[in-house]
Amino acid sequence: MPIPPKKILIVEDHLFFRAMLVRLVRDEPDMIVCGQTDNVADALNLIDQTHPDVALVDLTLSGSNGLDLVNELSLKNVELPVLVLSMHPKNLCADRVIRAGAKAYVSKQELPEAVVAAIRTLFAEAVPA
Amino acid sequence: MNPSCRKKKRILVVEDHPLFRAMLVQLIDQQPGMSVCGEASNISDALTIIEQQAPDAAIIDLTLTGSSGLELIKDLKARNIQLPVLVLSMHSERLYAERVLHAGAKGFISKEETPEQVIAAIHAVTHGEIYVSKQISQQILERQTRGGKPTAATGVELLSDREIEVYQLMGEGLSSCEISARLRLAPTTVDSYRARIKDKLGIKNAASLYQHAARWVAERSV
Repeated sequence: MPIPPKKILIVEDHLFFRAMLVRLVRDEPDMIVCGQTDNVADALNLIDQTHPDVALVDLTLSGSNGLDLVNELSLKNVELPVLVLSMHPKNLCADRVIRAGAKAYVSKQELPEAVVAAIRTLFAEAVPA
Repeated sequence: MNPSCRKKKRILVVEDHPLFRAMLVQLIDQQPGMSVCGEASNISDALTIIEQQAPDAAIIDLTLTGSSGLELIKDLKARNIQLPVLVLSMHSERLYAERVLHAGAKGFISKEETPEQVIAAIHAVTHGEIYVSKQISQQILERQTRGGKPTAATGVELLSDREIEVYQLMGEGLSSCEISARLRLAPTTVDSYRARIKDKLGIKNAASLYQHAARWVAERSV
């Protein structure tokens, strides 16, 4: 039986960048985008409704930040691996993000292949539906 | 070479975030009528590529490693290089669109637009048109119909291009010395820019100026 594609939620507040991330994920045969939004409240609703396998979340969101989403998930006992993406280099930010409960960190200094590879490393962490 | 390939518009992409640049390059290369002929993250590399590749247009971010896209546009104008430039930026369209047009760019598009809009904007500038959003075009037309008088500018809108650059770098935490090195200006010149910024924004002291600048930068960060 073919393995169903993994569902990815994308949370990024800059429209152009979000649209490009959606394209990036959609181009991968083993992934689909199950939802996209620019804020934490909508992300929580989408997680309830679509049960993603991995969330790709920008650290800087309008009016809040990606770690707020990580904290909310932890409070609600939702086991969703979160990959945090930000413009800051890995050495400045990764530790703080991982300590806050995210599973991985990718800097916008990296190339698209690194983002896709980082998402894929989290598939093993995804909770079976 | 296939004749249709020769007709493709050759685009230079100048953007300092590797991920964003790679995505933009991919988007452009997927379009039938255009292809990317070079990529750069700074002014010096961009100028070399322009000289060697003679692109049909350049798409330039306002924030570049060690400098600003606005400086690159001014450099092109100073060297009399007729290259249509589209500025793609996360910075406020209201604050920057007219500045980049005055500097010599042919268009401004915000990173808040869709990829389809960005492609439409590149098409426009490569075909000799000027591209700005409807809102900015309205803003410009309204001022023209008022006889060219500017609207009542407030806050950062009152600052000159150079003053905004200094304000931005202060907000990123750079000292006067570091700013003078970065912008290749004398320290006394940076000090006079700082004094003018303080006056224009009605800020009382240096500490408060740094706080305002840091808040302004934080509000606008990606």
